[in-house]
Amino acid sequence: MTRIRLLVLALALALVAAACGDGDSEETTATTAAPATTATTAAQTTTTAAPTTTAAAQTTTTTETMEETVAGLAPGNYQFGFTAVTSGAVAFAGVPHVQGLRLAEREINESGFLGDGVTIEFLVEDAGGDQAAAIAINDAYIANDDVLALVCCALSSVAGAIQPNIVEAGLAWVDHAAIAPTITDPDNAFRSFPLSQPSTAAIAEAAVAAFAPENAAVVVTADNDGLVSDRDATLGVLDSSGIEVLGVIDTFADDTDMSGPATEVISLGADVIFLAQLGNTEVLMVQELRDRGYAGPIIGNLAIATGETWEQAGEPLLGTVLPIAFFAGKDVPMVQDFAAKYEAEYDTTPDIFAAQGWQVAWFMAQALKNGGEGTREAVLEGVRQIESMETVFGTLTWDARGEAAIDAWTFVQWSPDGELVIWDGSAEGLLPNINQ
Amino acid sequence: MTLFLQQTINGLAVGSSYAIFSMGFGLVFATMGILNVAHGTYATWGAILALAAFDSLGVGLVPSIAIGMAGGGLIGVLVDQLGFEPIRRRGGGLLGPIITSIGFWIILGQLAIIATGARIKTFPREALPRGFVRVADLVIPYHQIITFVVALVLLLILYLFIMRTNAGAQMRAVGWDPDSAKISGVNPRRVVIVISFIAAGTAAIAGILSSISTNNVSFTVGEGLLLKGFAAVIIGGFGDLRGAYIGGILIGLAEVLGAQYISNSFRDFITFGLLVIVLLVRPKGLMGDRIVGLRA
Repeated sequence: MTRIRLLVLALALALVAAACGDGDSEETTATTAAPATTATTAAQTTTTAAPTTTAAAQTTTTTETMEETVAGLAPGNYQFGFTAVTSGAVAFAGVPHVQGLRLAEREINESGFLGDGVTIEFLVEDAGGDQAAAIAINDAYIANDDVLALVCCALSSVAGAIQPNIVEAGLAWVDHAAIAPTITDPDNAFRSFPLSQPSTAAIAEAAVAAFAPENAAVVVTADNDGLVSDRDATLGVLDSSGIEVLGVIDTFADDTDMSGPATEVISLGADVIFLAQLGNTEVLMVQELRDRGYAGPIIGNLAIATGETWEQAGEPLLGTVLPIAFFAGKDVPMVQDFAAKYEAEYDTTPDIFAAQGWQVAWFMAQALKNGGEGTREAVLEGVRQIESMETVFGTLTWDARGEAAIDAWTFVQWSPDGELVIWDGSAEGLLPNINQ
Repeated sequence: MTLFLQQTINGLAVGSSYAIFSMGFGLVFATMGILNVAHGTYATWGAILALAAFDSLGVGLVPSIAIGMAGGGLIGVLVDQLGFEPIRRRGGGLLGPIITSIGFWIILGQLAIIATGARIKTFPREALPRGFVRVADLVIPYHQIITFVVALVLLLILYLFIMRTNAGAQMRAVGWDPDSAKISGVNPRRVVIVISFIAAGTAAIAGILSSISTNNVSFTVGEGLLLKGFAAVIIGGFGDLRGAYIGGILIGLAEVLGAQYISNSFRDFITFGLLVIVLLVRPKGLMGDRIVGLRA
């Protein structure tokens, strides 16, 4: 009996140990890295370098940038707090976010972008998409004087939850992926990627011009503020174009079955279907629509732009177009450089989420460099000074509200060989779907 | 009419996966008195193990499903023997097993995150049944037909096993009173192990079928099934497998038809509103108080 008890105890301990060591090497790395130095004090004694108003985070120009700019940063390790979502329903975005972030962090530190002996470090904690967890994580970051600024979120609902405490604390907060238009604030809340609503409106206009529909249906993830804003942007275009909206169908972020909503959408008989859904729900919706015989154009969003999307859904994705700020096939040196490094590191093609993670790290580095001091105030000022920046999304510009925009969006579609390719905005340019 | 029939088919398919899950969930609740919230993770692990078998062992889809089901069943046995058996031996009440099951829910959920890398995994598309049967204007995907048939066959097999075999009689005896069963020569621990395996195995089947329907193997597979499975058991009556089946089907129909004809926004309101109504009108569920099953 004693042996059985010992065996049971050993098995239980093994299970617990396995669960505790949850393989989140990002967290382990973050917490065991060299602690922040007294850079804040030292930096305060140095002369603040004149900050550049146009950031140059392009990795291909790192050497020149180093030679041209002398940041007033004392040698040391400067920390930022990053709220990740590497577990839960949005982990499909959160995992590449962190991978891109870590890649950029290494590039920044190894290139000496911030000067000799100056490194940055992102403390990464996983909130799993949970609002309460995100609040707790960011409160801890705020209480940690070594954390100079915050980076969050992947979900608009989480961004809304953490907003009050961060605004109250007054340090810089950069949203790296959440798409609700209400997040940014000229005082301290900024965005490091282009807001999606203009892209939604842009592709809706393109679809109206290309397909000349008489009517349309819209599907939305109704419990996501950002996607509701995307829906409204689409409806605005349809309304102004005189397109009849036959129905707006609500779905929810944790839905796992789209057979019912897809049947409802198809029953409307719409010429074009617009989707503003979250992650896997949009993939499932496209699958169901095509599998059930819908042959018209589908206008999606970046939820169906990951490589896993093709593995999951395959050919039913044909005939669906989406606007995107980044895709690895873009013939731009910065994009190609990033894609090559990412593939070498993670053995997979970077998606939009990896690009968001990578870009926000460079954005924060530039803000630190602009600020010239390792203080929260200096970093906040450094963020405010960034007016435009060459990024993997294109040339980003920021308005007075801290909102980021790019001048042109790329429209893409899946090709039969599982690659994202450009959609030229014409009806003829749309690849045939499985029902044609 | 076509729309109504199409949505009814969708509701039956969704409800069938709830029914499969809830049959095992109800079996454990009825025989052991355990509200096992870790039950959803058996569905998750069934799907993960089936995919792992398919990828690693190079076996076909059906053998992979069998491996996933067996793996899920064994995890259920492991959880029972590690977590619930010690509590049973000490005569623990209702709360201890619930807390224990929450612990295993978290542990198995975290392990599922590690196993999947928190990403969505997929079976190769060509390995899945993606065709359709078209009847007039109705489109019925193969996977919906498979889910519906599997639910019915499982109900039949489990019901006959429990009601017509000696092993089933032992299960009913243990569900009625373990001490009396022991006096009659039944080995309650062995019976409990069998029940745990069957219950977790059926949850694993539900998880695998759900994953195949959506080609989505992730650590969240079982989460959607858990609440609906629980509601199905309460609605149908936890003392009878047929009640769990009917409860699952009703929830599926209410969910899909409610979304179509009322609003998708009220879907969960409709589902759990149904639960509340049944609890008020028939506290023991639709079949729990009048059909002889696992419990009186």
